[in-house]
Amino acid sequence: MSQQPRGLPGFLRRTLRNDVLDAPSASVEPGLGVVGAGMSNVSASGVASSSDPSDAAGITSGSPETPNASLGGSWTSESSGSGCKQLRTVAFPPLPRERGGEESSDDSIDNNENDGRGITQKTTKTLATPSKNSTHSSTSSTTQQQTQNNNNNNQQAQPRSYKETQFETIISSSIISLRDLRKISWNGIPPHHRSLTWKILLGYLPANTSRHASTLHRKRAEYKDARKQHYDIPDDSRTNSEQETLRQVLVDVPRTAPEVPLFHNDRIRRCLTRLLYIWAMRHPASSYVQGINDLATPFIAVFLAGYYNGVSCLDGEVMASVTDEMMEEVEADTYWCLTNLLAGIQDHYTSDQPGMQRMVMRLEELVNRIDVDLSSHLKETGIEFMQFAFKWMNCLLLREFSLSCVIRLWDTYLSEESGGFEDFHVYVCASFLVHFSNELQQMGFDELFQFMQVSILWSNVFVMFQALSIVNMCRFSIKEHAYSKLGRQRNRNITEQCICP
Amino acid sequence: MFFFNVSCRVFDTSSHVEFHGKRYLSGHSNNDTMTTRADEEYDYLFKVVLIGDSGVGKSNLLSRFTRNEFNLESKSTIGVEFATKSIQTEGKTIKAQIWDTAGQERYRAITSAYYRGAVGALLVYDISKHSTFENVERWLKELRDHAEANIVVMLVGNKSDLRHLRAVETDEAMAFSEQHNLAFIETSALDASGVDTAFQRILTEIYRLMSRRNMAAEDGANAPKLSSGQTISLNADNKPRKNCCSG
Repeated sequence: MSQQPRGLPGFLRRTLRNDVLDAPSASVEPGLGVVGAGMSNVSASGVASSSDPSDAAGITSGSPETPNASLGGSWTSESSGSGCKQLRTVAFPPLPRERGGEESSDDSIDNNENDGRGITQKTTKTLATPSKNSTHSSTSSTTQQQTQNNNNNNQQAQPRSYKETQFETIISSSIISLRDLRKISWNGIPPHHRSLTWKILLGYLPANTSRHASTLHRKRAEYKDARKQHYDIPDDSRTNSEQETLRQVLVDVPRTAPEVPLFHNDRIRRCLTRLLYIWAMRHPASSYVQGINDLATPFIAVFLAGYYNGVSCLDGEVMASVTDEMMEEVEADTYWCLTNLLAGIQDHYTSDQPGMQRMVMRLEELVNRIDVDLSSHLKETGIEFMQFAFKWMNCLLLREFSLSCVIRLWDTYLSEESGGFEDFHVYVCASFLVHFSNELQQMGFDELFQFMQVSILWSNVFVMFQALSIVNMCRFSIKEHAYSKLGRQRNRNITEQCICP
Repeated sequence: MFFFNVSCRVFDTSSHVEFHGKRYLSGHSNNDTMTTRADEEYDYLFKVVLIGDSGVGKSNLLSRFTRNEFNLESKSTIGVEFATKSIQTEGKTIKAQIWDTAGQERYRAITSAYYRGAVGALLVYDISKHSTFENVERWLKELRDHAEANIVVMLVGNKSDLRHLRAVETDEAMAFSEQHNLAFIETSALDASGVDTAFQRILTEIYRLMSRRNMAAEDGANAPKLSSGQTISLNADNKPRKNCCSG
């Protein structure tokens, strides 16, 4: 954390200093990442701890009376007594940008959810666990594993977590219970299961495990045909509008996730170009819309990592060992999963983008209900939700967070029974606004706008903050929302499901 | 005579206070924050939009002008982005509020909403891609349909550093801009040539037109008072502008 960003406003600099730089002085267990320690303050302020039964009681009693106390408050606040307790009982993940760190983060998050047995539960990634594609993990993946071993050298001998065993049981049964899979995935999917789990949750693979291989085979062949029909044809046989679409895709692909080295790779870029173009050809009502390219990136990253036991491939180093066959499979899988994802939010990208407008309106309404002060401040400054939240909806926060954060967030979106990307996403956006409420209320129009659109600012905060607290914040916000305002049955359901997994 | 509309939306939403000849925005707007009060001091606030095809370099023109930054790997703009910068011209401080719009067709419905109240537009094309120049007419139509009638439009040929790839000759673009009564300049956000000049020129142009309009408006306001009739709308319309240009 030495490269502290200069442009951060005071409150964020404080965050970095207090929570991260001073963290080692706190009594942190070995194996806890520095950032993990920083994040404990989040739990101290009453957000992350909701899953611990003993602490949850405190929150429940506190929240209805003081709706904004925890969310509105900065997470820079010093840890309270219970926070210190949390420090010792909850294993927090190290930084996601280190390979291996990100992977273990999810596992450790989940330990928290299980039974509070705490840090002794913190597992290594199950290196020995055969991934479904373990046939592909060749020499390079051995290297990967070694790297990872080094990263996690403190934890090698530790047993697999309860949650992970549970996950394994669910995913390896012959008929996978979608209900159970959703429930357990909501709090994060272990990285080596993510590729398969996403495919199931998106409806790309059936619940019946015995049909997986044949489905994959059929779908991949189908994609190959589509490619022959739409992409592998001479340019002069394309219509003007098709050429225009191709031109737009070609303009955008090199600008897709430029901060992630993986997407500088030519093969990845060609694969992205093809699948976006083919998707556009087969969905003429919306065709290709800028931002859809962003939505494909988590799939590519996750499916590629699926061949390497879930080890993050974002640095692009694995590309040397990726075979053409693997690339083709990743491309086809990404295409179909992107198709399924977009099918659920189709009118976000059709003419005039009615879905997007609806989402923005719902966000505005939600903030209106949860945080009247913020809402009226935004009105006073003259800023419109459409001006800043449009991008959040259009790119599903991929522009605001690091890719590894988004991947974790999507675990939850995909686990939502109905419309994680349509419905739950609005709550996530609302919880950010409410979280920054105090700061936002100090800002005028210009600063507000700048704050909302500077993604670097967000990712610096949230790389540290990580997906755990994001989702917990969101969860908390919904819970609060359910208690205080609407109390609709649907919200209660989410709440119960979230708080007591 | 070319009349010009001051960005009424902006001026009307906040009251103005005279203070030692300088004008401050008052009320619940920008300067309530504790940050850079000095930055809030300006004589005029102009809203300018950046339009043009996707990938011609609008966002980089904006970041070069406002922050002197250039990013070869900048992402596509979704919806709109926004930045401000103050410049000096003819002894006045002008704050430019620049809206950078997404170039793709699908976003027109959203971006055209931002033309409202804009007093200037930089219509950008890429000198190395002729199709982006061919689309300039479509963008002009877009402005005619959605923007104020008096908006100042400047045609900007960006990426002038790509000499070896040039597909649009300077003469061709200049002839086009004369024909359509547009200002014209070639820029390179990459090597920064022409960028400041482009913004400086359009803002100065807006300022001059606005001053001329204000003077004309004042004359117009005085004259009917002496005579008779139909002054009501003019007077009402003039009041804020009179205040505006007396600083």
